Amino acid sequence: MPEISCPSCGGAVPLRRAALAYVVCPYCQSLVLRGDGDLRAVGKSAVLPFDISPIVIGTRGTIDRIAFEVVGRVRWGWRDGAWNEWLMALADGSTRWLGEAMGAFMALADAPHARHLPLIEAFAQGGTITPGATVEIDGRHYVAADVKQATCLGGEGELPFPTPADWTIASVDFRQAGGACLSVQRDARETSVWAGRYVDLAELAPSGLRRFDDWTMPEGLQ
Amino acid sequence: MTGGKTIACPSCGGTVAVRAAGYTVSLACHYCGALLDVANPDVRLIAAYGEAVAQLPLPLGSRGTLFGVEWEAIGWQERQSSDAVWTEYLLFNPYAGYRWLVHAEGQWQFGAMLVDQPGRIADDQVVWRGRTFRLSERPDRVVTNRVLGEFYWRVQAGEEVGAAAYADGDDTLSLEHNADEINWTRLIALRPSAVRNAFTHPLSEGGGPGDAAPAPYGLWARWSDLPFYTDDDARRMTMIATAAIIIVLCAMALLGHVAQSIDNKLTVRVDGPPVELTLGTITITRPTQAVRVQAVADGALINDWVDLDYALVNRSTQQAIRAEGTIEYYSGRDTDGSIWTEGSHVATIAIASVPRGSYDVVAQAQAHHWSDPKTAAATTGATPSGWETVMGDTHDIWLSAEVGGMEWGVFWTVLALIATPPALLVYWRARRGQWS
Repeated sequence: MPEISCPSCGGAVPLRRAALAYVVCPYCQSLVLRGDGDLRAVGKSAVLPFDISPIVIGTRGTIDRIAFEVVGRVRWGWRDGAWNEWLMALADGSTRWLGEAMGAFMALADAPHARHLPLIEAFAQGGTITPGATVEIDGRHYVAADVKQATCLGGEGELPFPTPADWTIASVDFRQAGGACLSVQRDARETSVWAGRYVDLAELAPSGLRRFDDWTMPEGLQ
Repeated sequence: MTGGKTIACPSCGGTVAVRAAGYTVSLACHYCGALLDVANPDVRLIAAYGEAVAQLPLPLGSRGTLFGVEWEAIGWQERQSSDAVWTEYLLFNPYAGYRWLVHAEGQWQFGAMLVDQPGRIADDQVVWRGRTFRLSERPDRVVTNRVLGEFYWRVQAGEEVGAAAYADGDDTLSLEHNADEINWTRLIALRPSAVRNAFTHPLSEGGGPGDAAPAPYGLWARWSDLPFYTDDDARRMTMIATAAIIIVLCAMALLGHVAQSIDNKLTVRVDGPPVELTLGTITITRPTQAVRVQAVADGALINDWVDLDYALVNRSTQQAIRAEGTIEYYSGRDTDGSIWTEGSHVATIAIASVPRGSYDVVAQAQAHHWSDPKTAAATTGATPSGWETVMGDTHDIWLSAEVGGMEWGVFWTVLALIATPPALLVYWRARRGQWS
């Protein structure tokens, strides 16, 4: 695995994915911007406290028959809780997010075509979406099920963006009868839409999951 | 790496294990019950519980396997709607996420959050995975009363959500919503024994080595298996009722001790005129007290009846309190030759709440003969058989009156009053249990 030397502490930072602009040094939490051949420490990322997620940086699996590796994570906190978004680097060069909230996983890909639906357009203009609101995409009805204001708690690994601590978003998750889902996030600059479906760990055929001394890894997982 | 970490409770200093680190934001200290905020690196005290930490039928930290997955009970909350109180355990497995174990009225349900949204097809119907579920619990508010252990959100006592439930057979879809979220949970009914067998810890409090112990109720080995059981209220109700009955019995024995007793005898002719007798005088010294009058007829009274009229005549006002009794005893021979009897040679009446004062106890008796029509028809013109009373016979009636004595009528009334509220509760819960 290629490595870079952290410009701040000199530690060896593993690189899993050359195309991602930012990497968080696992030793000093410096946020390193990878420009054209030069490396700059552009800030510090918050130290993420230990959490009991089975996913770690380096976990591998397959999604829609394409192999992936988890290369980064952003953690978000809302008033009464927190969730993880794991960045999956796919073998075909694309990236997807694996959202982890309330013990459930959502596999999400960028869905720019959904960005111009009237409800989402109005949300992008600063409007609100209340739980129960619906949007229709390709004949499927999605129901807004979770509306949160969240603050970035920090990041780790490689990421396409920096994770400043004052980064706040409005986040809306939609659910659908067939287990499909939609995630809409708005920050001060832009609104993005992610579409996908709920997955359970076993269907990702994961390997390199975190092991816990006092828990048995279920069959089908490694 | 172990799944959990430990923190020091800022309220009591106890070492508290955090089982679902990172997800758990609120955690109740199992030593002092204080509710802690563990979302921040510095553990913060949210609320100190004044009450002792509840004894749970399923202690937090116990593990069990349900549907092929090992679960640890990490959180517990008591919740309430407008017409029910129930408890919910939060189950956790780091690879499988969270599930719920709902304990309501002795029934257990296993709950999983639905990520595939049910669709509404009518006001009172939703469809999920091709199945129709009908409204089984009308929309209501649900409030969290008490919280122990860990949750993946900052749950607090007083937290309120809107709720409704839809059912298809034993399968229930529960809907909960607040300003931020809509969540559907599928609840599957579990037998109490399935829950008990799944978890290593005993489910009943102080139940002892349950599997070896004989089942005290046959079908229900433990209090918690009783169909109307909610937490430990069945046991509590029984204990309160037993204590109340013992107190009532003691009070009755104390108050009902016989203060005075008089007796006398009269002789009455069958089909003759009424005979009057003054037994004597009794005095009521308490504000009110019961008077009991007993009449015993001689053994020769067969196929006769004696009407008894009693009067307690107040010696100072001459006002009378009246009561009636009857001694009757019949016997005959059936067509198949067998002998039947009916009635008794003793008649006891009680006059409750006789006011303070001195009373003459007066009895008037009149005896009548009764002929068995069958016997009469079969023996027309024959001499009455030896065990039948000969017309014109007399009977001796021994009469006694006493002040006080156990008022069993009052006792049974009190017993019924004590038993009515729990009986109604049981009936109501059983009906709800059938419908939900």
